[in-house]
Amino acid sequence: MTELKTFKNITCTFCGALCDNIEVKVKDNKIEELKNACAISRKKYEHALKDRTSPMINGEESTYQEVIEKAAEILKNSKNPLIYGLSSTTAEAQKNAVKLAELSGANIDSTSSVCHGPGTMAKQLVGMITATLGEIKNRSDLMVFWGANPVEAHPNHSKRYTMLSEGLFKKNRSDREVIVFDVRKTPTAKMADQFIRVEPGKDFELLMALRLIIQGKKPETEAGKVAGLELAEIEAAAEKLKNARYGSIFYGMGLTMTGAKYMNTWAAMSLIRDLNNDHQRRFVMMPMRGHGNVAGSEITMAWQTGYPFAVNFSKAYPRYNPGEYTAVDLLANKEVDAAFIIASDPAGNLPKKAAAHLKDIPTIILDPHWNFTSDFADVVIPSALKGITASGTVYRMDHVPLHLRSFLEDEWPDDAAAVAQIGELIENA
Amino acid sequence: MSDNNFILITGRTIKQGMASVSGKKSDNYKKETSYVEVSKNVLQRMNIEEGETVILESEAGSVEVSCKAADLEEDIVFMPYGRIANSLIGTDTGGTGMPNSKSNVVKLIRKEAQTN
Repeated sequence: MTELKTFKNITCTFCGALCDNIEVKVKDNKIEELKNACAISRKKYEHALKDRTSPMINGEESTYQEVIEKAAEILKNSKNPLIYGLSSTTAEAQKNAVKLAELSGANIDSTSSVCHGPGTMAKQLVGMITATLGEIKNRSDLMVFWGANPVEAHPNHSKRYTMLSEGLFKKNRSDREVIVFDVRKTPTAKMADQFIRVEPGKDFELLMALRLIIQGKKPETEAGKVAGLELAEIEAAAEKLKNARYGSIFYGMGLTMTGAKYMNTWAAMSLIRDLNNDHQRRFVMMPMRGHGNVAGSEITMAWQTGYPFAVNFSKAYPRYNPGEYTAVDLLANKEVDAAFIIASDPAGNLPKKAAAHLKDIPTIILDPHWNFTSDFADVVIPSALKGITASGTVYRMDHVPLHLRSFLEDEWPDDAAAVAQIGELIENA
Repeated sequence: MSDNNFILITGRTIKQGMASVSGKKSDNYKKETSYVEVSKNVLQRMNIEEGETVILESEAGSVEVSCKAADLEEDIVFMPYGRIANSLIGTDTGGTGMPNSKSNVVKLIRKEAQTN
């Protein structure tokens, strides 16, 4: 029996807030105590060593080496494979996945395409003025959450970085005004000073109305309203934005998944530019990134290929086209003939009709836990647990890179090693 | 929008998040992703009891889920993200890669009414 060992400042990899203040006490390769974890994180650590995958080929038990070789064979023989997932793995594994995509002439896409991908497309159009979470915590006197519900999706975000955090200059909740724009009164909206209900699908119209008012113009209305709001209400909100000294807008998928999609975020990013233009105040903006390293998936992909997601290597050089090389489109149009899923569960998370194509093509999954995709995958490759039994690099939602330390032992190699080994087999074949 | 058509908002809940990291194939995950939240006024108008099984139909598919009364506007219904909600989401991404996960129109039908 070993002694109880304490590990401090461990990073939870569940969401993009990447809380790096988790304390674990470990004995005999098991977590005995856990501190500072949110309700979701606690469940994640409690479940970490349960429900683990093992090497499988066509539903039969296999060896680790055999599943790696089978994966290489499938990708090598495929004419147009898809490599997808990536947001819950390390930057090292993401980098190796890009190399594998190049070697196998694959499409490579991350879960960002069904998350904040449209916001990233908007960034390419207009740019985004942003800051670190630390700066926002210290300085922001007006916090806006637009189509985002961090109280349920990023439970410790408000305590560590926003509404309830203790900053250098902004000390507590009463030092900050909080406004929530949303189609429903979420738990986050209930914590705000003001909840502004947006008519579903009308975020673009409201953002453009705010831009016009801030520019000193009067927006056109329908029966005196825009997005279900009286013009006077919008003018009052615009006044609050103008009166802030340091405003921050956190946006969620309420902007990226509705109506105008990337144009919603384009309008929000343009509003931020307008608010900064007269130098009377500073305004920054940030997507509430969902998966632990989804920000890293875009950063790594951009660093490696020049593009953040939706990349195609069929011509040996990277091409980028959301709507064509994105997972939902490739699967729904039945354009791919094999798939390698890395740390994701498309059968659970993508539209059913898109995910259905995975059952018709050879599908490989690399994941430490069983999920709906591993249920039918032809090849299952087990892997170590990021931030628990595997180390690596992950990027927080504000693009701050954090190093993951492992504190338990595992029988399986990590994602980065598995992906690299498959690549080497293809390269040396 | 007609009386029993609504915009389906799919999204995160804390319990769905907790269940998703506790085993995707568990009964708890199924429970936390297989209900729809509907405005109390709509439930009353459609004579639907809370907890009753209802049918949601979209262009992409249909599902049977239990319903919960919620503090929602009458033009939307809400479902937690998950495999069941994704049966209702179509694959048209409008050239962005992103499906309409918060803007799909669904029809809400009383199961009892359909079987009678």
